Amino acid sequence: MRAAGQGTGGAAGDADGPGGPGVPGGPGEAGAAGDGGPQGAGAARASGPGGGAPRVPRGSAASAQNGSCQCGARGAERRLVQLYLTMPFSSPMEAELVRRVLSPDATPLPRPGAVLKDFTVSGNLLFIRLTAADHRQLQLSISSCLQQLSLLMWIVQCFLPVFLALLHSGQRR
Amino acid sequence: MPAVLGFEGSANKIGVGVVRDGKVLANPRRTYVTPPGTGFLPGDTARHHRAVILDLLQEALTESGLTSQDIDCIAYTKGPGMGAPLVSVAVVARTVAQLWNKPLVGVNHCIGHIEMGRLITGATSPTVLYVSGGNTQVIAYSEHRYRIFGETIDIAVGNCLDRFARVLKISNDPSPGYNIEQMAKRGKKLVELPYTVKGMDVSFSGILSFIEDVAHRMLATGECTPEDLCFSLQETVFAMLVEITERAMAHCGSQEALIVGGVGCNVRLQEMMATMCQERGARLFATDERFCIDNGAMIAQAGWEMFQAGHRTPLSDSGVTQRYRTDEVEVTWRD
Repeated sequence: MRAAGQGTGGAAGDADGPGGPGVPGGPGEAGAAGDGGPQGAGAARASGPGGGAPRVPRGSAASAQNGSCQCGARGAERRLVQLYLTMPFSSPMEAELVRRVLSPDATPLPRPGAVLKDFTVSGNLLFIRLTAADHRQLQLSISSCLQQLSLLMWIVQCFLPVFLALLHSGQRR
Repeated sequence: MPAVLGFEGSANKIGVGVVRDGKVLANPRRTYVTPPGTGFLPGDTARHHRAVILDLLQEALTESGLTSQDIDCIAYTKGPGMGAPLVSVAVVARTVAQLWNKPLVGVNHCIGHIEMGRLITGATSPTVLYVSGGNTQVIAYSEHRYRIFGETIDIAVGNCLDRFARVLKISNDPSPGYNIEQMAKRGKKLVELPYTVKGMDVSFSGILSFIEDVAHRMLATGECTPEDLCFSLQETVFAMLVEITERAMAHCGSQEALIVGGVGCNVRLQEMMATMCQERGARLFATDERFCIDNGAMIAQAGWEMFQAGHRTPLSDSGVTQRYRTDEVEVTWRD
């Protein structure tokens, strides 16, 4: 999903993250699929049965900022599927607030196949990356994540005006 | 006079409550009810909670007559419970805490029940029978912990009742347990069922398997009615609960018993517990359906105690826990 105003292109489900794969030749392209570097592998693209996420090379780590991934390659080659999502907010403060709300539940359970979630902020943009071992898990995680975001935005819309009013009047501690 | 806003949504009930200095100022709640013969699934339950929680929040503020600035602390159910519903409610609590710039307190759901039971009934140091669709524990307080003296080794008693209700296609509105209770009042025949008390613990999964099997056979042959089966199941499982509660009371030398949790609304269970307490010269305490059944005010009350005792939950630690034992919490607000 691309943020409005960030240009077109890219398959559904793609979004440029900071240094993410993005559209070939587009901004933020860093690390070809399969190179095992951070944010480099397994970008989910709309593809047919013959395509799919690039394979992670044997023995290489994938996706996490420290180069390791709990659902990465174990023994035989494994496919990882990922979703990158960029969501714009009206201010960096809002983006950071949403990141702080969603991050506590991002820690994956210590079991095989748990979905990895990464939330980062740059300016007024929230970048979300979901990494899963199979498409079904990723689909479930995407659905859940979008529903959480929807609820969050609803709450923020309800209460942000009061929050900003208090902020400007200097009443927030 | 701190006022605490509490969010509860660990199962199919979602509630938002406001408590200030021992007074419940608001306690609206909604229940996710599924068709007869079915139970509630995590994803659908979370979807229900997300759809109604903001309305509940507004309702709670209106009913209490408070604004966001009057609230001193946001409490929420950290666990135990179903993952997706817990997360949905925690997300709202975190957001509200940040927007209103209020401290956050994660509450153990079981302790919420206990603290609300103590507040409403005035029981000082009871042996607690906590019985619901998700939990069955006998608990007593000792040295800053709510200690678990006995519990189910498999499914909760409420889960046993709810799943039996599905077999008979009993309505889930307002709750399957309530409808079983009403049917049981019309039962006349006691069907012998397995009685599975194991020391201080109980087991219900075998009873459920057994009654699911005999139900089809006996109802088909007309040996008994659905009302007889409801009656028999209640009498059996409630007798087991009374036994392990009495055993804990004898061990602790306790003269008070408190029933909390949704199954605690059952009048027959209260009668049986009252008989046992009377025979021991003890007092029985129980609350009504407003506070027995999962609600936001119980989380607010436990949160109030924790807030006053200095507990705070940093955002980084505010994740939910599906398995959160009652005795994991250090109860610093009691001597």
